[in-house]
Amino acid sequence: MVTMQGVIILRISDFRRFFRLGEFLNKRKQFLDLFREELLRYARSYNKPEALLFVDNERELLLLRLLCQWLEYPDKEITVAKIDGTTLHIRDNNETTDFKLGRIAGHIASAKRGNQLTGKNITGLTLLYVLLGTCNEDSDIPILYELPDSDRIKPFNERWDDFEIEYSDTVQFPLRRCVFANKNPQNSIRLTWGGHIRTLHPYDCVTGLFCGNVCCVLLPNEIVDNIHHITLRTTVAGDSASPRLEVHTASGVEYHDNAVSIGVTNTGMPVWSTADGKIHYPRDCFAFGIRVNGFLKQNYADSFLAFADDGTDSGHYIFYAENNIYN
Amino acid sequence: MTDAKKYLRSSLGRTIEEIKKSMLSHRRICFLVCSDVNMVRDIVNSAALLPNSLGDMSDTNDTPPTPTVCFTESDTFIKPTLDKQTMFDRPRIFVCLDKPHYLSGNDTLEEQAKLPIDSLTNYVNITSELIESNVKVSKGGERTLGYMRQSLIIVPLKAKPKVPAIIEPFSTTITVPFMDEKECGEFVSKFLSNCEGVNRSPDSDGYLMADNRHFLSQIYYCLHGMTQRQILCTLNDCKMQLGNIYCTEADADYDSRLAALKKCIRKFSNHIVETSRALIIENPSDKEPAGLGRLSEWLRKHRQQVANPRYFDRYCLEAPKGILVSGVPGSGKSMMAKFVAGCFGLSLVRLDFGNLGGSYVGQSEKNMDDALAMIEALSPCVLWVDEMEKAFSGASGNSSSDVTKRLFGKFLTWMQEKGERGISCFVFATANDISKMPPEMFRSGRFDGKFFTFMPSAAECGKIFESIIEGQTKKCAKESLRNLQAKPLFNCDKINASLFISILNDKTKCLKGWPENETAECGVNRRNKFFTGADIEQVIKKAKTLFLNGFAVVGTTPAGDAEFDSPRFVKCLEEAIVETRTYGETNLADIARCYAQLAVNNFSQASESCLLPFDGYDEMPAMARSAQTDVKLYDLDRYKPGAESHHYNALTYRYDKCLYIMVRNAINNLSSELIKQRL
Repeated sequence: MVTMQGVIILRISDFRRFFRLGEFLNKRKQFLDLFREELLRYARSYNKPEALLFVDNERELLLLRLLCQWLEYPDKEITVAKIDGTTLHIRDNNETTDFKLGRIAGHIASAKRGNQLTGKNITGLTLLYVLLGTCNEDSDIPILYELPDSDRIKPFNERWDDFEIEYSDTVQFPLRRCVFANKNPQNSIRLTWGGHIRTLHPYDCVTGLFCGNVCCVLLPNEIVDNIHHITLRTTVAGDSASPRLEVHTASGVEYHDNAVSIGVTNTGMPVWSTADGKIHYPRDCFAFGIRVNGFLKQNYADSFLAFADDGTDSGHYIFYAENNIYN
Repeated sequence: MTDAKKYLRSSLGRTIEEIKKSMLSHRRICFLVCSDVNMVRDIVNSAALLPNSLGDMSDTNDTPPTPTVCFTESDTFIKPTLDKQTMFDRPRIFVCLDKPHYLSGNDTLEEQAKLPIDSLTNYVNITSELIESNVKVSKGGERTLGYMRQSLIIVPLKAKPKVPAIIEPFSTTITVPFMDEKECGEFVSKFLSNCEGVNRSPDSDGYLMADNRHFLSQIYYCLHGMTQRQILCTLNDCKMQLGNIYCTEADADYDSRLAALKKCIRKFSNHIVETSRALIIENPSDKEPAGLGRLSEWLRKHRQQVANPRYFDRYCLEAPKGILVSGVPGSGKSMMAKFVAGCFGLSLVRLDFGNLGGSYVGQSEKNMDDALAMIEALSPCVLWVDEMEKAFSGASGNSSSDVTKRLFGKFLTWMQEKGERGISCFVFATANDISKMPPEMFRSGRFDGKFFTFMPSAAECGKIFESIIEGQTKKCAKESLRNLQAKPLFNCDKINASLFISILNDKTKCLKGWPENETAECGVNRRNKFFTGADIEQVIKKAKTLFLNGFAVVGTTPAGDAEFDSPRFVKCLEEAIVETRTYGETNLADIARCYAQLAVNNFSQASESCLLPFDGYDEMPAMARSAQTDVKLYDLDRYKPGAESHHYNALTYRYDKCLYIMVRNAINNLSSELIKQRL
């Protein structure tokens, strides 16, 4: 049984409706099995289209067959498929079937220029998007020509299984901010950073400060203050590609979008910064306010990335910018 | 792209996922319990189960081109053998509903006709290879068999079916869940936005909701259990009656507008219940029965928990299940049921056990299931079970009928587990004689409170009398609003509690059998008139009839103060009392038996006064006594010497003292019989 976002996928209608590239690629083996079953069913019925259960017609089946080939042998050239400007041509038994690329065409061109993907992968992703119907103008499936590449950490990274990031005990510059989100709706996953292991529950996310692919600072994603009865967590909501802060208190839960670093002052007040570089804190957090004002006076304040507690329980915060630290 | 979380929480999403799980586990027959054809349409149209093609949708075309979905009303769509199949040229979805009904605007499912048992049995036999296992199947036959195994049969029903054993392993029964609070809130918000231009904004889970979440939450409790179509009809109906229905908490009249809307919704939802023979909608009342102060106090304390159970989830506090009220007939139990519903602001539904029976085997249980399902759809509500001992008499013991036992068991189980499913239905059960009820009814946790209503004291009788007189006077005053000079029905300053109490205490009228030796007296007699609430009502009625028939016209000077002129009405009242044989006069033994039952089953008193404290009742010494010794069942002095005289002297009125002595003596005189019953 294969699921996408927790929904059981039996048919292409649900496949399109709940599609997520990251999850699809993460579960490629299971989807491959599902697609192979369809191909087998078709073959066993002596190629009768009535036997199709997953796809609706033989055109989609053709795309499915080649998609299976790409998933199974990603390094093998798909010789029968050719992308020609705005059309995908597929040769099958001396017949050519054409698929209009519509709005995919522009993305293919960008992908080719970007030089991040091989031709085989561009073709494979194109087959996938054509099958998903994203060439139609009214499709709202985002077209992303990218593959999970463990060599490159992106600003927002989705994960479904345990993973590891490279550790550094010293801060190196230039720093950049990267978020990791557990998109697995059912299971928690573990992030390993050197000797540290951080557990991310479903839809939890964590922000790290990286120099290249090395994580120099892993910011807290959950802070619990039992004295003041406040808990802060960073999570990701649904489809969004940005973290949000959940502030849990006795009177309920508040949400703040785009929060990248979080903290709780000695007086139990939540403080946080957002992706646009702004630092948010209650007016009566005077000590924190003084620190913030001190940082903002620096000439590198424009490149602010995040803040973090210095770990001494003194209520002291360190502010990180791209090439500087304010301590 | 769709947010999967919302889809998985929606009633359609949950249903479709259940059907998918059933298909993956090769259970291809799906009994879908729902009351709305729209749900069937949505499932079929989603194309999430099998390739969907309804072909030509026109109802004039009986043979649409190769559709995947087939509608069938007959029981012959699957033939007994593989070679005779004509429908399986591809995997199909069979919907056991006729196409015109599916396509029509009629959204409700009819009461289920016969299940297509023959076709389903043939399907099971063929696909599970129960037959033709030794027969060589052709290539075409193999293909047909494959298509049959990939097909899905949906049987929409209004209630859970009794599935034959042969079909059960290959089938699944899915009850379409009600919309949850968020889904309902979004649906209502959409209606409000379309009709009243109400602004909507996404909440933290992505649901587009109107800004006033409290309003949506309150409305949800009233709409819970309705289909989308029913909600639309209800809201349109309310709009017609009340105008704009949406209001914000900032509005000055928010509470009253919200209460009016909830009342309007409940009126509509009551219509759903009227289709059941066993359920009767009764009118709640805000008139508090006099003399049952402690019960009224209990109800007030638990009002919030019953009316708004979700607020107490955070304390892990389940809504009260209900209470059992037992006592002498005519002591206000039924009046209390109506007051309970009025006090909680909920609908009052009476369960009539007499109408649960049916002529077919299993029909009574089915009717009970249907009735309980309907009650759940109506929740939160008050379920009134009147004279429970008559309904379930014989549910214990060897002579009980199996049907009664099963119905009783079903009802008990439902009472216990409804709270776990979030059903807020307050059961108000009344009983006159609890000795006929199965003892498991009284175990701890079954009811949140057990109350008894006994013979009212003199003061309570006065309150009841005054309440009836005042109620009738007010009612008449409303009806004669045009005449400002109209006399009141009664002069309530004179025809009041004090008057009635004075009559009660009169040895020449109500206490002719007054025991001269008071507490030393051991005998009983039938010469004292002890009243229940029903007796008082009857006496007033009789007095009015006497008045209208000219009784005591001669010899009475009219005061002209009311329609029922006070001096003459007093005489009529006294005469009516003389003529009336009250319950306490004729049924002293029954009162004693009732008291004994209540004492051993740990009931709490519903009234404020306590004429016979349970402390004085103890059957153990009486049961353990030897033949020679004389031990009383009721003896207040038993464990605390002097307690009886203390209690007796504290009773204000002679009526109360007489009642105490008579009932005490009746209990002690019946001690052999009462102990025998216990043993």
